[in-house]
Amino acid sequence: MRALPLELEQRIALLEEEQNQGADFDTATWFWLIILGIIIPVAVAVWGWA
Amino acid sequence: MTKHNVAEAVADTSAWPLLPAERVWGSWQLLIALTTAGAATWCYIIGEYVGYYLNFRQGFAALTAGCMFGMLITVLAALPICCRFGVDSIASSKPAFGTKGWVIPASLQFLSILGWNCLLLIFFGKSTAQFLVAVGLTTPAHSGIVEPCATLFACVLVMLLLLRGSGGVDRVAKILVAHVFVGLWMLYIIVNERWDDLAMAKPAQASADPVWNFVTGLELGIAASLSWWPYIGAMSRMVPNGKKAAVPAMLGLGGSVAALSLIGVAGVLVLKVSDPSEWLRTVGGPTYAIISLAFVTAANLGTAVAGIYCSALGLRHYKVFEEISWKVLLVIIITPIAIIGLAIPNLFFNNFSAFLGFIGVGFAPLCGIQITDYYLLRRGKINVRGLFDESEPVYRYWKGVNPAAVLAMIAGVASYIYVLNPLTFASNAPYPLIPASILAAVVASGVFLLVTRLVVIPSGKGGYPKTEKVYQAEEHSTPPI
Repeated sequence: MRALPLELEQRIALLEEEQNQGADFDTATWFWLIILGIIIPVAVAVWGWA
Repeated sequence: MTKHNVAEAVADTSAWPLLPAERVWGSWQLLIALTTAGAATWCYIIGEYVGYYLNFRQGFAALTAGCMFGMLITVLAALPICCRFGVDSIASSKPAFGTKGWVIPASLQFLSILGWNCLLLIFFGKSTAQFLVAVGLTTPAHSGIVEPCATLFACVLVMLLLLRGSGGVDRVAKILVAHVFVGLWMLYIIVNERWDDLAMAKPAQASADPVWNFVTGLELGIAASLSWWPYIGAMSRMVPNGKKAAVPAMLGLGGSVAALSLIGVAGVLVLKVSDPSEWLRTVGGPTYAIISLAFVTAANLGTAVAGIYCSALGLRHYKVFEEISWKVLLVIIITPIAIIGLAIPNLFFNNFSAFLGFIGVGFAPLCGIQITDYYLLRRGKINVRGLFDESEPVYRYWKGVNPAAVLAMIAGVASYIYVLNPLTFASNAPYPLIPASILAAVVASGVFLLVTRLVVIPSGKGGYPKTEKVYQAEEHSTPPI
Protein backbone atom coordinates (compact mmCIF):
# COMPACT_ATOMS: atom_id res chain seq x y z
CA MET A 1 0.00 0.00 0.00
CA ARG A 2 1.24 3.49 -0.94
CA ALA A 3 2.55 5.80 1.79
CA LEU A 4 0.61 9.03 2.32
CA PRO A 5 2.12 12.28 1.02
CA LEU A 6 4.13 13.93 3.80
CA GLU A 7 1.90 17.03 3.86
CA LEU A 8 -1.25 14.91 4.25
CA GLU A 9 0.44 12.77 6.92
CA GLN A 10 1.27 15.91 8.90
CA ARG A 11 -2.27 17.22 8.57
CA ILE A 12 -3.76 13.96 9.81
CA ALA A 13 -1.33 13.84 12.72
CA LEU A 14 -2.37 17.35 13.73
CA LEU A 15 -6.07 16.62 13.37
CA GLU A 16 -5.80 13.50 15.48
CA GLU A 17 -5.28 15.84 18.41
CA GLU A 18 -8.67 16.93 19.66
CA GLN A 19 -7.72 20.58 20.15
CA ASN A 20 -7.11 20.90 16.37
CA GLN A 21 -10.56 19.60 15.46
CA GLY A 22 -13.51 21.89 14.85
CA ALA A 23 -16.01 21.90 17.70
CA ASP A 24 -19.25 19.99 17.23
CA PHE A 25 -22.67 21.66 17.60
CA ASP A 26 -23.11 23.29 21.00
CA THR A 27 -26.38 23.75 22.90
CA ALA A 28 -27.15 27.07 21.21
CA THR A 29 -26.62 25.51 17.77
CA TRP A 30 -28.91 22.60 18.61
CA PHE A 31 -31.47 25.13 19.81
CA TRP A 32 -31.35 26.97 16.46
CA LEU A 33 -31.38 23.73 14.49
CA ILE A 34 -34.54 22.63 16.31
CA ILE A 35 -36.15 26.05 15.83
CA LEU A 36 -35.24 26.34 12.13
CA GLY A 37 -35.52 22.69 11.20
CA ILE A 38 -38.47 21.46 13.26
CA ILE A 39 -40.49 24.15 15.09
CA ILE A 40 -40.78 26.60 12.18
CA PRO A 41 -41.48 23.91 9.54
CA VAL A 42 -44.17 22.30 11.73
CA ALA A 43 -45.75 25.68 12.55
CA VAL A 44 -45.72 26.83 8.92
CA ALA A 45 -47.03 23.48 7.66
CA VAL A 46 -49.90 23.55 10.18
CA TRP A 47 -50.71 27.16 9.21
CA GLY A 48 -50.62 26.31 5.49
CA TRP A 49 -52.75 23.23 5.91
CA ALA A 50 -55.37 24.91 8.12
CA MET B 1 4.40 32.66 -2.01
CA THR B 2 5.69 31.30 1.33
CA LYS B 3 5.87 27.58 2.06
CA HIS B 4 2.89 27.93 4.39
CA ASN B 5 0.83 29.73 1.73
CA VAL B 6 1.68 27.07 -0.83
CA ALA B 7 0.50 24.36 1.58
CA GLU B 8 -2.73 26.29 2.19
CA ALA B 9 -3.34 26.65 -1.53
CA VAL B 10 -2.70 22.94 -2.06
CA ALA B 11 -5.16 22.03 0.71
CA ASP B 12 -7.77 24.41 -0.66
CA THR B 13 -7.75 22.71 -4.05
CA SER B 14 -7.38 19.16 -2.74
CA ALA B 15 -9.58 16.87 -0.70
CA TRP B 16 -7.10 16.94 2.18
CA PRO B 17 -8.44 18.04 5.55
CA LEU B 18 -8.04 21.72 6.32
CA LEU B 19 -6.20 22.81 9.44
CA PRO B 20 -7.79 25.29 11.87
CA ALA B 21 -5.62 28.16 10.57
CA GLU B 22 -6.83 27.53 7.01
CA ARG B 23 -10.51 27.57 7.87
CA VAL B 24 -10.88 31.30 7.67
CA TRP B 25 -14.48 31.84 6.60
CA GLY B 26 -16.89 33.29 9.14
CA SER B 27 -20.62 32.56 9.43
CA TRP B 28 -21.54 35.52 7.22
CA GLN B 29 -19.12 34.49 4.51
CA LEU B 30 -20.58 30.98 4.49
CA LEU B 31 -24.12 32.34 4.52
CA ILE B 32 -23.37 34.52 1.48
CA ALA B 33 -21.60 31.71 -0.39
CA LEU B 34 -24.40 29.21 0.26
CA THR B 35 -27.16 31.71 -0.53
CA THR B 36 -25.50 32.50 -3.86
CA ALA B 37 -25.05 28.79 -4.56
CA GLY B 38 -28.68 28.05 -3.75
CA ALA B 39 -30.30 30.78 -5.80
CA ALA B 40 -30.51 29.59 -9.39
CA THR B 41 -32.92 28.64 -12.15
CA TRP B 42 -33.85 25.44 -10.35
CA CYS B 43 -35.73 27.54 -7.78
CA TYR B 44 -38.31 28.42 -10.45
CA ILE B 45 -38.51 24.80 -11.55
CA ILE B 46 -39.14 23.65 -7.96
CA GLY B 47 -41.69 26.46 -7.54
CA GLU B 48 -43.35 25.56 -10.83
CA TYR B 49 -43.93 21.96 -9.74
CA VAL B 50 -45.30 23.08 -6.37
CA GLY B 51 -47.59 25.56 -8.15
CA TYR B 52 -49.09 22.71 -10.18
CA TYR B 53 -50.52 21.19 -6.99
CA LEU B 54 -50.93 23.95 -4.39
CA ASN B 55 -52.23 27.49 -4.16
CA PHE B 56 -49.88 30.31 -3.13
CA ARG B 57 -50.47 30.12 0.62
CA GLN B 58 -50.16 26.35 0.76
CA GLY B 59 -47.23 26.46 -1.65
CA PHE B 60 -45.44 28.92 0.63
CA ALA B 61 -46.09 26.73 3.67
CA ALA B 62 -45.14 23.44 2.01
CA LEU B 63 -41.99 24.83 0.42
CA THR B 64 -40.79 26.57 3.57
CA ALA B 65 -41.49 23.57 5.77
CA GLY B 66 -40.06 21.10 3.26
CA CYS B 67 -36.89 23.06 2.48
CA MET B 68 -36.10 23.77 6.13
CA PHE B 69 -36.79 20.21 7.31
CA GLY B 70 -34.84 18.74 4.39
CA MET B 71 -31.96 21.05 5.19
CA LEU B 72 -31.97 19.90 8.82
CA ILE B 73 -31.50 16.30 7.64
CA THR B 74 -28.67 17.31 5.29
CA VAL B 75 -26.97 19.38 7.98
CA LEU B 76 -27.17 16.54 10.51
CA ALA B 77 -25.83 14.05 7.96
CA ALA B 78 -22.79 15.83 6.57
CA LEU B 79 -21.87 18.82 8.71
CA PRO B 80 -20.55 17.19 11.90
CA ILE B 81 -17.70 15.32 10.20
CA CYS B 82 -17.04 18.03 7.57
CA CYS B 83 -16.73 20.78 10.16
CA ARG B 84 -14.78 18.73 12.65
CA PHE B 85 -11.99 17.78 10.27
CA GLY B 86 -12.32 20.37 7.49
CA VAL B 87 -13.25 17.77 4.88
CA ASP B 88 -15.80 17.62 2.07
CA SER B 89 -19.01 15.55 1.95
CA ILE B 90 -17.37 12.60 0.19
CA ALA B 91 -14.81 12.21 2.97
CA SER B 92 -17.64 12.42 5.51
CA SER B 93 -19.28 9.39 3.90
CA LYS B 94 -16.22 7.13 4.23
CA PRO B 95 -16.90 5.89 7.78
CA ALA B 96 -20.31 4.55 6.71
CA PHE B 97 -19.48 3.38 3.17
CA GLY B 98 -15.86 2.24 3.55
CA THR B 99 -12.51 3.09 2.00
CA LYS B 100 -13.76 2.00 -1.43
CA GLY B 101 -17.53 2.14 -0.93
CA TRP B 102 -17.40 5.94 -0.92
CA VAL B 103 -17.52 5.77 -4.71
CA ILE B 104 -21.29 5.32 -4.35
CA PRO B 105 -21.92 8.79 -2.85
CA ALA B 106 -19.09 10.16 -5.01
CA SER B 107 -20.76 8.93 -8.20
CA LEU B 108 -24.06 10.33 -6.99
CA GLN B 109 -22.40 13.68 -6.29
CA PHE B 110 -20.47 13.80 -9.56
CA LEU B 111 -23.40 12.92 -11.80
CA SER B 112 -25.76 15.20 -9.91
CA ILE B 113 -23.50 18.27 -9.87
CA LEU B 114 -22.26 17.76 -13.40
CA GLY B 115 -25.76 17.20 -14.74
CA TRP B 116 -27.26 20.16 -12.93
CA ASN B 117 -24.40 22.44 -13.91
CA CYS B 118 -24.81 21.45 -17.54
CA LEU B 119 -28.42 22.56 -17.23
CA LEU B 120 -27.46 25.79 -15.43
CA LEU B 121 -24.82 26.77 -17.96
CA ILE B 122 -27.14 25.99 -20.87
CA PHE B 123 -29.72 28.17 -19.09
CA PHE B 124 -26.98 30.79 -18.75
CA GLY B 125 -26.47 30.69 -22.53
CA LYS B 126 -30.18 30.98 -23.21
CA SER B 127 -30.78 33.85 -20.78
CA THR B 128 -27.70 35.72 -22.03
CA ALA B 129 -29.04 35.47 -25.58
CA GLN B 130 -32.47 36.69 -24.41
CA PHE B 131 -30.79 39.52 -22.49
CA LEU B 132 -28.80 40.64 -25.52
CA VAL B 133 -31.94 40.53 -27.66
CA ALA B 134 -33.85 42.53 -25.01
CA VAL B 135 -31.22 45.29 -24.86
CA GLY B 136 -31.01 45.38 -28.66
CA LEU B 137 -27.45 44.07 -29.05
CA THR B 138 -28.52 41.12 -31.17
CA THR B 139 -31.60 39.75 -32.90
CA PRO B 140 -33.60 36.58 -32.17
CA ALA B 141 -32.35 35.20 -35.48
CA HIS B 142 -28.82 35.11 -34.07
CA SER B 143 -29.79 33.36 -30.83
CA GLY B 144 -28.68 30.04 -32.28
CA ILE B 145 -25.10 31.37 -32.41
CA VAL B 146 -25.19 33.52 -29.28
CA GLU B 147 -26.46 30.76 -26.96
CA PRO B 148 -23.58 28.27 -27.44
CA CYS B 149 -21.05 31.13 -27.45
CA ALA B 150 -22.46 32.38 -24.12
CA THR B 151 -22.36 28.84 -22.67
CA LEU B 152 -18.73 28.52 -23.75
CA PHE B 153 -17.97 31.95 -22.28
CA ALA B 154 -19.56 30.86 -18.98
CA CYS B 155 -17.42 27.70 -18.92
CA VAL B 156 -14.24 29.72 -19.43
CA LEU B 157 -15.33 32.28 -16.83
CA VAL B 158 -16.09 29.58 -14.25
CA MET B 159 -12.69 28.04 -14.88
CA LEU B 160 -10.91 31.39 -14.49
CA LEU B 161 -12.82 32.20 -11.32
CA LEU B 162 -11.97 28.83 -9.79
CA LEU B 163 -8.25 28.93 -10.51
CA ARG B 164 -7.70 30.07 -6.94
CA GLY B 165 -9.99 27.51 -5.37
CA SER B 166 -12.46 28.49 -2.68
CA GLY B 167 -11.24 32.11 -2.92
CA GLY B 168 -12.96 32.27 -6.32
CA VAL B 169 -16.22 30.94 -4.85
CA ASP B 170 -16.02 33.55 -2.08
CA ARG B 171 -15.31 36.46 -4.45
CA VAL B 172 -18.11 35.52 -6.85
CA ALA B 173 -20.57 35.00 -3.98
CA LYS B 174 -19.85 38.44 -2.50
CA ILE B 175 -20.73 40.08 -5.83
CA LEU B 176 -23.56 37.85 -6.97
CA VAL B 177 -25.39 37.69 -3.64
CA ALA B 178 -27.06 40.92 -4.77
CA HIS B 179 -29.14 38.88 -7.19
CA VAL B 180 -30.96 37.27 -4.26
CA PHE B 181 -32.39 40.69 -3.39
CA VAL B 182 -33.39 41.15 -7.03
CA GLY B 183 -35.19 37.83 -6.70
CA LEU B 184 -37.04 39.01 -3.61
CA TRP B 185 -37.92 42.22 -5.46
CA MET B 186 -39.38 40.14 -8.30
CA LEU B 187 -41.46 38.23 -5.78
CA TYR B 188 -42.65 41.52 -4.31
CA ILE B 189 -43.61 42.77 -7.80
CA ILE B 190 -45.84 39.82 -8.61
CA VAL B 191 -47.38 39.64 -5.12
CA ASN B 192 -48.00 43.38 -5.10
CA GLU B 193 -49.26 43.77 -8.67
CA ARG B 194 -51.27 40.58 -8.94
CA TRP B 195 -52.30 39.78 -5.36
CA ASP B 196 -55.97 39.31 -6.22
CA ASP B 197 -55.16 36.91 -9.06
CA LEU B 198 -52.66 35.12 -6.86
CA ALA B 199 -55.09 34.72 -3.97
CA MET B 200 -57.77 33.34 -6.30
CA ALA B 201 -55.48 31.19 -8.47
CA LYS B 202 -56.17 27.46 -8.54
CA PRO B 203 -53.35 24.98 -9.14
CA ALA B 204 -53.66 23.44 -12.59
CA GLN B 205 -52.86 19.81 -11.81
CA ALA B 206 -54.10 19.49 -8.24
CA SER B 207 -55.22 16.00 -7.30
CA ALA B 208 -58.62 15.38 -5.72
CA ASP B 209 -56.79 14.46 -2.52
CA PRO B 210 -55.69 17.64 -0.70
CA VAL B 211 -53.31 15.63 1.53
CA TRP B 212 -51.54 14.29 -1.55
CA ASN B 213 -51.16 17.81 -2.94
CA PHE B 214 -49.75 19.24 0.28
CA VAL B 215 -47.39 16.35 0.97
CA THR B 216 -46.14 16.51 -2.63
CA GLY B 217 -45.31 20.19 -2.07
CA LEU B 218 -43.50 19.22 1.13
CA GLU B 219 -41.69 16.41 -0.67
CA LEU B 220 -40.46 18.73 -3.41
CA GLY B 221 -38.99 21.05 -0.77
CA ILE B 222 -37.39 18.19 1.18
CA ALA B 223 -35.92 16.54 -1.93
CA ALA B 224 -34.53 19.87 -3.16
CA SER B 225 -32.78 20.47 0.17
CA LEU B 226 -31.37 16.95 0.37
CA SER B 227 -29.67 17.43 -2.96
CA TRP B 228 -27.48 20.10 -1.32
CA TRP B 229 -25.53 17.30 0.32
CA PRO B 230 -22.56 17.62 -2.08
CA TYR B 231 -22.31 21.39 -1.63
CA ILE B 232 -22.59 21.56 2.11
CA GLY B 233 -19.33 19.79 2.93
CA ALA B 234 -17.09 21.48 0.40
CA MET B 235 -18.30 24.93 1.47
CA SER B 236 -18.68 24.38 5.22
CA ARG B 237 -15.19 22.97 5.65
CA MET B 238 -13.99 26.54 5.21
CA VAL B 239 -15.48 27.60 8.58
CA PRO B 240 -13.70 26.55 11.76
CA ASN B 241 -16.47 24.56 13.46
CA GLY B 242 -20.00 23.23 13.32
CA LYS B 243 -21.38 26.06 15.46
CA LYS B 244 -20.51 28.60 12.78
CA ALA B 245 -21.77 26.48 9.89
CA ALA B 246 -25.14 25.08 10.98
CA VAL B 247 -27.36 28.19 10.97
CA PRO B 248 -25.85 29.68 7.77
CA ALA B 249 -26.43 26.33 6.05
CA MET B 250 -30.06 26.23 7.18
CA LEU B 251 -30.76 29.80 6.12
CA GLY B 252 -28.47 30.05 3.09
CA LEU B 253 -29.64 26.90 1.34
CA GLY B 254 -32.99 26.07 2.99
CA GLY B 255 -34.33 29.58 3.53
CA SER B 256 -33.19 31.22 0.30
CA VAL B 257 -34.30 28.35 -1.94
CA ALA B 258 -37.72 28.30 -0.26
CA ALA B 259 -38.10 32.08 -0.70
CA LEU B 260 -36.91 32.20 -4.31
CA SER B 261 -38.95 29.15 -5.30
CA LEU B 262 -42.03 31.22 -4.48
CA ILE B 263 -41.23 33.25 -7.61
CA GLY B 264 -41.92 30.09 -9.60
CA VAL B 265 -45.06 29.26 -7.60
CA ALA B 266 -46.48 32.75 -8.11
CA GLY B 267 -45.52 32.84 -11.79
CA VAL B 268 -47.09 29.50 -12.67
CA LEU B 269 -50.25 30.22 -10.68
CA VAL B 270 -50.94 33.67 -12.12
CA LEU B 271 -49.29 33.69 -15.54
CA LYS B 272 -48.87 29.97 -16.19
CA VAL B 273 -45.14 30.37 -16.60
CA SER B 274 -42.51 30.04 -13.86
CA ASP B 275 -39.55 31.77 -15.51
CA PRO B 276 -39.55 35.37 -14.17
CA SER B 277 -37.79 36.70 -17.26
CA GLU B 278 -40.94 35.77 -19.20
CA TRP B 279 -43.63 36.88 -16.75
CA LEU B 280 -41.90 40.10 -15.65
CA ARG B 281 -42.25 41.37 -19.22
CA THR B 282 -46.02 40.90 -18.85
CA VAL B 283 -46.20 42.40 -15.37
CA GLY B 284 -43.71 45.24 -15.59
CA GLY B 285 -42.69 45.72 -19.23
CA PRO B 286 -39.34 45.28 -21.02
CA THR B 287 -37.19 47.06 -18.37
CA TYR B 288 -38.28 44.60 -15.71
CA ALA B 289 -37.63 41.76 -18.13
CA ILE B 290 -34.07 42.99 -18.72
CA ILE B 291 -33.40 43.22 -14.96
CA SER B 292 -34.82 39.75 -14.52
CA LEU B 293 -32.70 38.29 -17.30
CA ALA B 294 -29.58 39.81 -15.76
CA PHE B 295 -30.65 38.22 -12.46
CA VAL B 296 -31.20 34.77 -13.97
CA THR B 297 -27.88 34.92 -15.80
CA ALA B 298 -25.92 35.97 -12.70
CA ALA B 299 -27.71 33.45 -10.49
CA ASN B 300 -26.77 30.50 -12.67
CA LEU B 301 -23.15 31.58 -12.89
CA GLY B 302 -22.78 31.83 -9.10
CA THR B 303 -24.25 28.38 -8.59
CA ALA B 304 -22.12 26.83 -11.32
CA VAL B 305 -18.93 28.22 -9.73
CA ALA B 306 -19.81 26.63 -6.38
CA GLY B 307 -20.97 23.38 -7.99
CA ILE B 308 -17.87 22.86 -10.09
CA TYR B 309 -15.64 23.61 -7.09
CA CYS B 310 -17.46 20.95 -5.05
CA SER B 311 -17.27 18.52 -7.94
CA ALA B 312 -13.53 19.07 -8.35
CA LEU B 313 -12.91 18.46 -4.65
CA GLY B 314 -14.96 15.26 -4.86
CA LEU B 315 -12.88 13.98 -7.78
CA ARG B 316 -9.70 14.51 -5.76
CA HIS B 317 -10.60 11.44 -3.71
CA TYR B 318 -9.93 9.23 -6.74
CA LYS B 319 -6.28 8.16 -6.96
CA VAL B 320 -6.12 9.11 -10.64
CA PHE B 321 -7.12 12.72 -9.93
CA GLU B 322 -5.24 13.08 -6.66
CA GLU B 323 -2.04 14.57 -7.98
CA ILE B 324 -2.92 16.23 -11.27
CA SER B 325 -2.85 20.03 -11.31
CA TRP B 326 -5.93 21.99 -10.26
CA LYS B 327 -6.14 23.62 -13.69
CA VAL B 328 -6.18 20.26 -15.47
CA LEU B 329 -8.81 18.97 -13.05
CA LEU B 330 -11.03 21.98 -13.78
CA VAL B 331 -10.58 21.40 -17.51
CA ILE B 332 -11.56 17.73 -17.06
CA ILE B 333 -14.79 18.76 -15.33
CA ILE B 334 -15.68 21.72 -17.49
CA THR B 335 -14.92 20.14 -20.89
CA PRO B 336 -17.90 17.73 -20.90
CA ILE B 337 -20.17 20.58 -19.79
CA ALA B 338 -18.88 22.74 -22.64
CA ILE B 339 -19.26 19.91 -25.18
CA ILE B 340 -22.84 19.23 -24.08
CA GLY B 341 -23.66 22.96 -24.02
CA LEU B 342 -22.27 23.43 -27.53
CA ALA B 343 -23.21 20.22 -29.27
CA ILE B 344 -26.40 18.77 -27.77
CA PRO B 345 -28.02 21.34 -25.45
CA ASN B 346 -31.58 20.49 -26.48
CA LEU B 347 -31.07 16.75 -26.52
CA PHE B 348 -29.58 17.03 -23.01
CA PHE B 349 -32.46 19.21 -21.83
CA ASN B 350 -35.08 16.80 -23.07
CA ASN B 351 -33.57 13.57 -21.78
CA PHE B 352 -31.08 14.11 -19.00
CA SER B 353 -33.49 15.78 -16.62
CA ALA B 354 -35.25 12.40 -16.24
CA PHE B 355 -31.95 10.84 -15.22
CA LEU B 356 -31.32 13.65 -12.75
CA GLY B 357 -34.72 12.96 -11.21
CA PHE B 358 -33.60 9.42 -10.41
CA ILE B 359 -30.14 10.50 -9.24
CA GLY B 360 -31.80 12.89 -6.76
CA VAL B 361 -33.60 10.11 -4.93
CA GLY B 362 -30.25 8.74 -3.70
CA PHE B 363 -29.56 11.62 -1.31
CA ALA B 364 -32.35 10.77 1.15
CA PRO B 365 -31.04 7.26 1.95
CA LEU B 366 -27.49 8.59 1.98
CA CYS B 367 -28.39 11.16 4.65
CA GLY B 368 -30.33 8.56 6.65
CA ILE B 369 -27.32 6.23 6.65
CA GLN B 370 -24.90 8.97 7.72
CA ILE B 371 -27.10 10.20 10.57
CA THR B 372 -27.57 6.66 11.91
CA ASP B 373 -23.87 5.89 11.56
CA TYR B 374 -22.59 9.06 13.22
CA TYR B 375 -25.10 9.59 16.02
CA LEU B 376 -26.48 6.15 16.86
CA LEU B 377 -23.66 3.76 16.08
CA ARG B 378 -20.43 5.71 16.45
CA ARG B 379 -21.64 8.24 19.02
CA GLY B 380 -19.60 10.91 17.23
CA LYS B 381 -16.29 9.00 17.31
CA ILE B 382 -14.48 9.27 13.96
CA ASN B 383 -10.97 8.16 13.07
CA VAL B 384 -9.62 10.93 10.82
CA ARG B 385 -6.74 8.76 9.61
CA GLY B 386 -9.25 6.21 8.35
CA LEU B 387 -10.77 8.86 6.05
CA PHE B 388 -7.55 9.19 4.03
CA ASP B 389 -5.17 6.33 4.79
CA GLU B 390 -6.13 3.07 3.10
CA SER B 391 -3.60 1.18 5.19
CA GLU B 392 -5.65 2.07 8.26
CA PRO B 393 -8.07 -0.87 8.64
CA VAL B 394 -10.78 0.95 10.58
CA TYR B 395 -13.13 1.69 7.64
CA ARG B 396 -11.96 -1.10 5.33
CA TYR B 397 -14.89 -3.43 6.08
CA TRP B 398 -14.89 -6.14 3.35
CA LYS B 399 -12.51 -5.16 0.51
CA GLY B 400 -13.20 -1.51 1.29
CA VAL B 401 -16.99 -1.73 1.05
CA ASN B 402 -19.55 -1.75 3.85
CA PRO B 403 -22.37 -4.08 2.77
CA ALA B 404 -24.69 -2.47 5.32
CA ALA B 405 -24.45 0.87 3.49
CA VAL B 406 -24.88 -0.72 0.06
CA LEU B 407 -27.96 -2.68 1.14
CA ALA B 408 -29.37 0.38 2.91
CA MET B 409 -28.90 2.52 -0.21
CA ILE B 410 -30.64 -0.08 -2.37
CA ALA B 411 -33.53 -0.39 0.11
CA GLY B 412 -33.86 3.40 0.46
CA VAL B 413 -33.85 4.13 -3.28
CA ALA B 414 -36.23 1.24 -4.01
CA SER B 415 -38.67 2.37 -1.32
CA TYR B 416 -38.60 5.94 -2.68
CA ILE B 417 -39.28 4.89 -6.25
CA TYR B 418 -41.99 2.48 -5.09
CA VAL B 419 -43.94 5.11 -3.12
CA LEU B 420 -43.35 8.04 -5.50
CA ASN B 421 -42.12 7.82 -9.06
CA PRO B 422 -39.92 10.95 -9.35
CA LEU B 423 -40.81 11.42 -13.02
CA THR B 424 -44.51 10.68 -13.26
CA PHE B 425 -45.42 11.41 -9.61
CA ALA B 426 -47.46 8.19 -9.58
CA SER B 427 -47.66 7.15 -5.93
CA ASN B 428 -48.35 4.15 -3.71
CA ALA B 429 -49.12 3.79 0.01
CA PRO B 430 -47.85 4.84 2.52
CA TYR B 431 -47.47 8.02 0.43
CA PRO B 432 -48.88 10.66 1.06
CA LEU B 433 -49.02 9.78 4.77
CA ILE B 434 -45.26 10.10 4.83
CA PRO B 435 -43.10 12.07 2.33
CA ALA B 436 -41.11 9.76 0.04
CA SER B 437 -37.73 11.24 1.04
CA ILE B 438 -38.43 10.73 4.74
CA LEU B 439 -39.58 7.17 4.11
CA ALA B 440 -36.46 6.45 2.03
CA ALA B 441 -34.22 7.90 4.76
CA VAL B 442 -36.00 5.92 7.49
CA VAL B 443 -35.90 2.65 5.52
CA ALA B 444 -32.20 3.13 4.73
CA SER B 445 -31.46 3.97 8.38
CA GLY B 446 -33.33 0.87 9.56
CA VAL B 447 -31.59 -1.48 7.13
CA PHE B 448 -28.20 0.07 7.93
CA LEU B 449 -28.76 -0.22 11.67
CA LEU B 450 -29.94 -3.81 11.42
CA VAL B 451 -27.16 -5.10 9.17
CA THR B 452 -24.52 -3.20 11.14
CA ARG B 453 -25.72 -4.60 14.48
CA LEU B 454 -26.23 -8.15 13.19
CA VAL B 455 -23.28 -8.53 10.83
CA VAL B 456 -20.75 -5.70 10.80
CA ILE B 457 -20.18 -5.11 14.52
CA PRO B 458 -20.03 -8.83 15.44
CA SER B 459 -17.43 -9.24 12.68
CA GLY B 460 -15.30 -6.56 14.33
CA LYS B 461 -15.41 -4.34 11.21
CA GLY B 462 -15.95 -0.61 10.86
CA GLY B 463 -14.30 0.60 14.06
CA TYR B 464 -17.60 0.78 15.93
CA PRO B 465 -17.55 1.07 19.72
CA LYS B 466 -17.91 -2.51 20.88
CA THR B 467 -21.09 -3.57 22.61
CA GLU B 468 -21.06 -5.70 25.77
CA LYS B 469 -22.17 -8.76 23.77
CA VAL B 470 -19.22 -8.50 21.40
CA TYR B 471 -16.81 -8.13 24.33
CA GLN B 472 -18.26 -11.24 25.96
CA ALA B 473 -18.05 -13.21 22.70
CA GLU B 474 -14.42 -12.14 22.22
CA GLU B 475 -13.53 -13.09 25.80
CA HIS B 476 -14.97 -16.60 25.31
CA SER B 477 -13.18 -17.09 22.01
CA THR B 478 -9.75 -15.95 23.31
CA PRO B 479 -7.53 -19.02 23.59
CA PRO B 480 -5.92 -19.52 27.02
CA ILE B 481 -2.21 -18.70 27.18
